[in-house]
Amino acid sequence: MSKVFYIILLTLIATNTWGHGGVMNEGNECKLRVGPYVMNFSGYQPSNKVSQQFCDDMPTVGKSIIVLDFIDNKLRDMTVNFRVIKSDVAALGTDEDGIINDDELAQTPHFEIPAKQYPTGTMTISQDFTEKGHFIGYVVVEGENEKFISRFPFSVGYPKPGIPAALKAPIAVFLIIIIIMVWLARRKPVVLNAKKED
Amino acid sequence: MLNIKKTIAVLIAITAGFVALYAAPAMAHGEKSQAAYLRMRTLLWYDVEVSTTKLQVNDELVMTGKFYWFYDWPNNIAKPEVAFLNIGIPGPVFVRKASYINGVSGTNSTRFDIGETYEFKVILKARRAARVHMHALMNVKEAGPLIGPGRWVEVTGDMADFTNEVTTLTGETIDLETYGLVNAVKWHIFWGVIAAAWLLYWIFQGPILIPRYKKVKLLGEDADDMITAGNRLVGVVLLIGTLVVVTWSYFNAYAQYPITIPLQSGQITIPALPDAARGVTAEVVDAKYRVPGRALEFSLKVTNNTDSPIRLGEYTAANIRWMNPEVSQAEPADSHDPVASNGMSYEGGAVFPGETKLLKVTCTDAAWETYRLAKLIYDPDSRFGGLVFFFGEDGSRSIVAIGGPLIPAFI
Repeated sequence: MSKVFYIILLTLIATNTWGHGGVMNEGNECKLRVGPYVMNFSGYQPSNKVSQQFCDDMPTVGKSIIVLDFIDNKLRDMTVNFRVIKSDVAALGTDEDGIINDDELAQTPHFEIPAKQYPTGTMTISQDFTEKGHFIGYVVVEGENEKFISRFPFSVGYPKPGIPAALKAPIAVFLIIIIIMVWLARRKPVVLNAKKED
Repeated sequence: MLNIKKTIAVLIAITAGFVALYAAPAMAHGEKSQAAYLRMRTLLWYDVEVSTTKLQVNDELVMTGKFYWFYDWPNNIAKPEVAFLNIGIPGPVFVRKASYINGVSGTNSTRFDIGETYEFKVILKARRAARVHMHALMNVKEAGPLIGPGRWVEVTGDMADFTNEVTTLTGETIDLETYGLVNAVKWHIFWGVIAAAWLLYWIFQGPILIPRYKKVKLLGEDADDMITAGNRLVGVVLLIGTLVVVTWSYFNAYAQYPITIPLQSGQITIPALPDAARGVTAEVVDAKYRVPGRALEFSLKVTNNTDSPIRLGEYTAANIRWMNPEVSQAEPADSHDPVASNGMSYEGGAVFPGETKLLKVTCTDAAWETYRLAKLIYDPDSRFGGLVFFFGEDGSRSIVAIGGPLIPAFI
């Protein structure tokens, strides 16, 4: 019984942090790190999941919108190039996902947004993914004397396996209540010393 | 048997514990962590300036600006019946020498009127070396702090050189940094020793805590027998001694400082500034937030009752400014000053005297997302607010509060 309790406890207290290369899901925010700079990464699929926001992976094929919001204002003075190339493999979920590959950068991209400045701090990328597959995204930022590249693999059309995030908390709470009810039902009632003497 | 009361109590405690543990870490800090509607529809600050951003210990800094109490105040937020103008700084880097609201001393708490504008001035004196992000802020009773724009300020020098001299009503010059410090330390030590002795005495008078509780339960009505005559004597001596010391210290302090006035805890009401709209009215006809574009788009019905053609130059909300560079220009004061220098554009041109015109306004910037204002669209009451600034050809400025329901557009 106690093992189950501890497993649930550890599951609940684990912080939701994971990432594919340069894109990190930190708590409730999806961030893209490019060198010392940080952007918010938001993915939308307006035709399928209108109001839902995704962090790198797109669950279905179709029209997709990726929005990069610059957290560091210095990025507004730099050029940003966004390119996506096709890949045969999915993200590994390890540090290798973020390693820059010059051969990949030399390839003709599946699609690309040429380098330009974004004074409003927002870069919006629209793309119609017609078939499911694995991709590698590159964001290249370049200033006067600096250049940084971020690599992040992502997939399109592969819904995340496992329990949907929205159901995790209710299931955990339900299990905890069941465990507590069983525990309380099985334990012996407390008898005060005074009553014992009676 | 299952004890229902205990079960409910345990369930509540465990659930509260798990909710606390499950809560994801907050990724924002300070003003960004406050709800968007709170920042857009309560206190709107503008024209906030600091006299300097680099100063030495003992130098003075003056923060000035204006604030407007938004007319469409959220129902769930307490109104500013009792409020106090303050400055938010991490740690005692400055001391406040004076503060003024519309020229009246801001020493006391103040009642403010919703829908009115006030100007403020706070004079601070640098106390110790630090680089801090300081904010103007208004503490509102039962609503909490409403935070204004922040500025990075750097203080250099040695805290040992700091002095905070004032002249009292009796003509004596004292340094508030050290005044009365020795006396306060002396009395804290005195009462600390008495308290420790009292605790130690009882630790050696039989069982304590749970064993004592159990013994009391066992003795029932005879539990008072645990207190001996010696215990009672010690208690009486300490009680009388405490009263004697308190009485003596009171009369001693009175003899030493015969002229005193009570701490001032009154509340004042300060008249508001004249209407900053200056004859211009503006009403939101419809508004939507374009999610992928990070843009607030609204139609504004504007009537110009001034003598000069006016054009829209700025929209500000939640301490973020969207500028229309064709009319009004502003650059960020520092790396954390959210100014969208090219963030606003509109269709409709100038509004001429006596004319009513519909303007189509767009305010675009990543700040909607990075400053968490876009979260507004997920509220059960998705209403936005803010101030729009119109500029006349004669150099005049009219400031009008606007707001209304906001509909998200995901495509």
